[in-house]
Amino acid sequence: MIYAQHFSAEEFRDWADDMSPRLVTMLDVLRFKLGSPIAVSGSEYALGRNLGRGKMSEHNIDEWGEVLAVDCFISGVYSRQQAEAVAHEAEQIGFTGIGVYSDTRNNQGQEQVMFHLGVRPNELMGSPATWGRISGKYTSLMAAVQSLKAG
Amino acid sequence: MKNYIDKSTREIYAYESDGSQDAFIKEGLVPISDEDLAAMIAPTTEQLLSQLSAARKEQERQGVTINGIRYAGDPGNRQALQEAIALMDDAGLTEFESWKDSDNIFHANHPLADVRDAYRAIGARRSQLIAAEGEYAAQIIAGILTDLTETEVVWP
Repeated sequence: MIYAQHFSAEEFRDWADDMSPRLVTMLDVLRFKLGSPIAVSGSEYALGRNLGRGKMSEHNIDEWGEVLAVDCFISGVYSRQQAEAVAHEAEQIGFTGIGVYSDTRNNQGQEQVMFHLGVRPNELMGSPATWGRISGKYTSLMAAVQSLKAG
Repeated sequence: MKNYIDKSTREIYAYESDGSQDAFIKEGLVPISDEDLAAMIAPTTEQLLSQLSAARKEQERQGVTINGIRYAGDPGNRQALQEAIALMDDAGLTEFESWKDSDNIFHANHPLADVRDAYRAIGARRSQLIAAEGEYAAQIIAGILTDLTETEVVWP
């Protein structure tokens, strides 16, 4: 795995050698810009997946040849305003796939908003594909953000 | 079948796998696997979203059935229903002397209440369909939904 100031290879578990260097670098920049630790979700689906060709998930290493996305929690980010700020910063940095999940629990088992951050090559920086999930139902990113409690 | 691609034009060629058509394989074609072929012809996000929208509109067009009579839900019929209801309300009438339904069958003394119920039901169904389309669209954008077969997409 390429060098990152704020991440070690262990954090990407068995997928460390398959991580997109672009993704790791952008996560590193996001971590620097936010000033808050980013924890990769403990879910087995948070990094790479083997879904076969034709499945366009950024996690699907069979399609992209590398892991293009992580599902993660950002320390201290729970509220609507905080989540919106993170999504905005992620878009500014140039992530091209941004998902906000308001129905998730963090690695300590507490309810916390989870972010999908990806670098799919078929979208442009500044114009990412965005989506959200509320209670298991997929929706717009903004609807998921709005479903969080106000700070 | 054996699949080949012309890399200059991106055209795909398929030949019998028993070799009987090998003589026709053009020079310069590059063999590709079934997996690669499937990935190459998979619809794009934009195509999937367009197909999804078309599928939702088709569901809408089917409309609703009230007391055995179908009322189509396409935009033209929604407008016609609205106009018919407004006309009857203005005239203070409660029955249509003759009603032509969406399957071209005529009904005498058709109750306005049924037409009003149908119009409301079409609106409610349209709302449900749009909500479902929104959810499926988000799944397509997320890369989770990659085909719109009946097993993957179920309309309310």
